[in-house]
Amino acid sequence: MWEKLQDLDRRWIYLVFVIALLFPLFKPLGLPIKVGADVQNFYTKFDKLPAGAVVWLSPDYSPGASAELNPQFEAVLRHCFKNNYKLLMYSMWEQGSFLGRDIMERVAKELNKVHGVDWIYLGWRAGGNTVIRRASEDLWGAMENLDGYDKPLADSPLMANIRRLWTPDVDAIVCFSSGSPGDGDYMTYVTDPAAKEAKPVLLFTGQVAVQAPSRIPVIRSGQIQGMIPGMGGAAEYETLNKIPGKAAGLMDAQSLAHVVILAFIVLGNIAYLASRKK
Amino acid sequence: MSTTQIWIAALGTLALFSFLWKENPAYRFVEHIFIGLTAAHVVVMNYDSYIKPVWRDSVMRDGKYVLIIPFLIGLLIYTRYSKSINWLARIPMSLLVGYGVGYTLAFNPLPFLRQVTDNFVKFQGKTATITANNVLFFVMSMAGLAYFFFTVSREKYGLQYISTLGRYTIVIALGASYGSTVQGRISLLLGRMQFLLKDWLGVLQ
Amino acid sequence: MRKQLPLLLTGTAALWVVLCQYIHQFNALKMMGTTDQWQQIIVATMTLVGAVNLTRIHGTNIQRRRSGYYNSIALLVALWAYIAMGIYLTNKHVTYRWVYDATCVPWEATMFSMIAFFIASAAVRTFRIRTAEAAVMGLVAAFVMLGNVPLGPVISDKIPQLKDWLMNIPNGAGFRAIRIGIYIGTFAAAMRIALGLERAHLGSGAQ
Repeated sequence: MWEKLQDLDRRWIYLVFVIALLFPLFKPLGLPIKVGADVQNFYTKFDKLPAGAVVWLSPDYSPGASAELNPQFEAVLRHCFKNNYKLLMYSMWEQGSFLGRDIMERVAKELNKVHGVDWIYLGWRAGGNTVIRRASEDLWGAMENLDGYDKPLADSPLMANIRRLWTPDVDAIVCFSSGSPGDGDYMTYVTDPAAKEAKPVLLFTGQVAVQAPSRIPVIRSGQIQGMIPGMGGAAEYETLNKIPGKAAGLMDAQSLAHVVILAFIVLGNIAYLASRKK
Repeated sequence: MSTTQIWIAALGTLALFSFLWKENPAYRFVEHIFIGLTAAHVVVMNYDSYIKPVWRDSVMRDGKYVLIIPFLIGLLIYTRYSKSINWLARIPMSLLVGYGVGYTLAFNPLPFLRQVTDNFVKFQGKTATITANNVLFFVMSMAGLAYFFFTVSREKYGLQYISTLGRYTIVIALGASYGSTVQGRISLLLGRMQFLLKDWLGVLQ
Repeated sequence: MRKQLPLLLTGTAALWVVLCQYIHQFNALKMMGTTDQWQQIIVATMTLVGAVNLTRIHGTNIQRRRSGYYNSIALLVALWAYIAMGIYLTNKHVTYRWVYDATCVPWEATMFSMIAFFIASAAVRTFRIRTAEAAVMGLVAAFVMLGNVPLGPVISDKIPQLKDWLMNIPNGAGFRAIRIGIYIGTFAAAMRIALGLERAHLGSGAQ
């Protein structure tokens, strides 16, 4: 029997996996979501920014990571609007600028936040990390004096006192990252060089789960203030916001799917040991 | 999304998932259209979000004709399709690579040094546990570095023990990465399941 | 000339950025803003290369009637029709967004989501605990997986605590070592390119 498991058609494995995934979607288990140390640390530090603080939101991902990072982006966005932070949204990824804009427009409309006054969409510009390096000296130049809708930046009252992606014009950056360019570039070209200024620019990040473990050393060194890891992190942030979102509803399915993967590893190894004994 | 959009998205999604059963014409067809559209999107974004505003505003309206030079340099890349002058395509490539390399040499030392100096922080913490963790972090990270050290043999001078600890440190980091990767990939699949069951079929609340 | 000029340009461009960063005179970093804009323009102008290459490859497929050439026709129609639409209507136009939302977004998400199935299959077939290292890796992975989901704390309060410790101390130390190694490696590679010892970016014939 165990040898058969070794040679099992992979499609049976897929089937069991999908059933485990679907079951909690129809019959939620109702497991409570406990806020972890990472998300609590992010939330507490981010919440301490004063009302009117200028926050740079950077959805640096493509649709491949949207299931994890869209809920994070929305949860942080709602937190920002609740605290009356002023928002600049720019993406280093072409596709990220579209994904972020959709969420931004929807939530801003829902909360009556005005473009050009409470938030501004800066879109995307060619050049990757060069753009943010240039923006750290001359934000208007880096954006070619236009916002993401092709309207002059001079028409937006919000931009009147914001000339650079640097302190004191910008208080914090939140980068939602699924690769490069991403939070590493903000750290290298903006927040680390600005760390010696009287009031540094704080860097926060939302990460796809795959990248989360690799960010621990930069959080420990204080180069990044806090991190939201993966869909689980998004669900925890939604819990802290007290606004249930997409991520929280999927965590039961996450739990069961994880158990199934663990069971697969155990069964695979039992089968391997049994076949070796023979 | 409109109903038509949902149907296009759903049928494409099913065609792509059909690859899990086996390679088939439906999967190939959608895959090819997807590649075409994504490649087109990159071109459109570059033209619409950068080339057009720079040309329209900076060059034509403000008269910064010097900016025509980088446009011409960029266009040299297309000489690669001509056998006689294809070496000219190396000019924009060399400038871009050199510029990127300059960025690395100029800006990377700062975050690198912050990582190095953070390893030498004061061990003593508010509690004995924090102190122990600080010591452990230092020892394990140095051991991890020793594992990548190839200048002298790692079998002598007691380096074999440090290197073994380093190997286990890296193994733990990889284990943590694997554990997190599982969550990441399941999240993506759940996103698609939710789309099919909720947005398309409407069987999920 | 054909080799030396590109090498000279590579080194000069690299040196320019380094000098701008380290000479704290004459607003050197602000001067770099001009060359930053040049770099952005060059990058943007070059992006059509991908579309041209796809056209050449798939054009040949169609010309020679290779198997599945009709897929190549579909690819080229999608490519050039969408480029034409984007340039004519702009990427902000509702029709352009309509196509993007119906195709690029869901299909890319699907492509990436399929990896979950391969992870499930690999868990059964390839995650073999043959050595002590593999056992440690498996155990750490198990605790991180359970600690990442709501089920972990339900089983035991200790699971998220252990997961946090594993992530912050041994995993953090491991990635600190990896990170320092990457920085040194990247710096060395960048130095080799700037000095002309590495020439792969110039293509064949430049070695």
